[in-house]
Amino acid sequence: MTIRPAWALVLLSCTGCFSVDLYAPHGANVYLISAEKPVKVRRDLRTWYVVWGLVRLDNTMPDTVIAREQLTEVRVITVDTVPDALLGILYNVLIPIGLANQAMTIEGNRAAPTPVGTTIPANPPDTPPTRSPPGSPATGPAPPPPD
Amino acid sequence: MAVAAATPANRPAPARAVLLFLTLLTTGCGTVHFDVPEGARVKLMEIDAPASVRVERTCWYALWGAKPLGDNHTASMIAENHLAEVRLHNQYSASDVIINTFTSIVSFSRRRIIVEGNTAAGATQ
Repeated sequence: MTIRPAWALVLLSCTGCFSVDLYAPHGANVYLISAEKPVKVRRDLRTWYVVWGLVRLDNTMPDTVIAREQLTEVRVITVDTVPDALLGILYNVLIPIGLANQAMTIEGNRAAPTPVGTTIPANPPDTPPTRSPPGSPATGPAPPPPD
Repeated sequence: MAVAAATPANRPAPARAVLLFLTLLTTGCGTVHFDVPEGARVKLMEIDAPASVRVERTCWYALWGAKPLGDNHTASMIAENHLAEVRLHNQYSASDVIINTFTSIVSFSRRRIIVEGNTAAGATQ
């Protein structure tokens, strides 16, 4: 039995696998929000895969956008649209190179800005002042604390 | 009488139509919402943070992904498992591909939502 190349390509185009992972950037406190909560930031993102979805091409996941936009609240919608379908046909059938893509929308809010008038101490409260009082002799580095 | 083999140039029109139709079938859509219940405060975990709970749900769609047949939000999964911090995945694996190859003929397709996390008692600070 002979399988024609075009039919084989259709079968290959069926083998697209992918995964979209939502996690926080390292060191960031990010909270998920509900579908109803109003948001101020909305970014559309498209991530690409090769070998019919087996390998991420650009490794662009939502954490990249979360870190770049400094979001502290976020929700994500993964969505496939008609343009995505056309791209799938283009790169898996017409030009069979196994390129797949996944679109997603990242919505969220940034941290509230510090209120005007709030003073931010230059040093932590328990840090001793580094400037010598007037009239005191010049001092070198602080001696090590006693054991 | 010799019969010439079918080439892309002289392939019968019905064969090309079926090929295009099957191609369109493989491009099913499907929307997944990564969100939490209203009023809940759920932290997003880092990629390598340990998780004690792992929940998986298969989400089915009709009309090639246009119409979800069930809940395609993660909010209910988070609420059912009382999770205080989570990491979320939308997966379209080889098994989904094989199943969708047959079910998409009648417009049905599926995706999987995976929620990993910790309850309030086991949440990392």
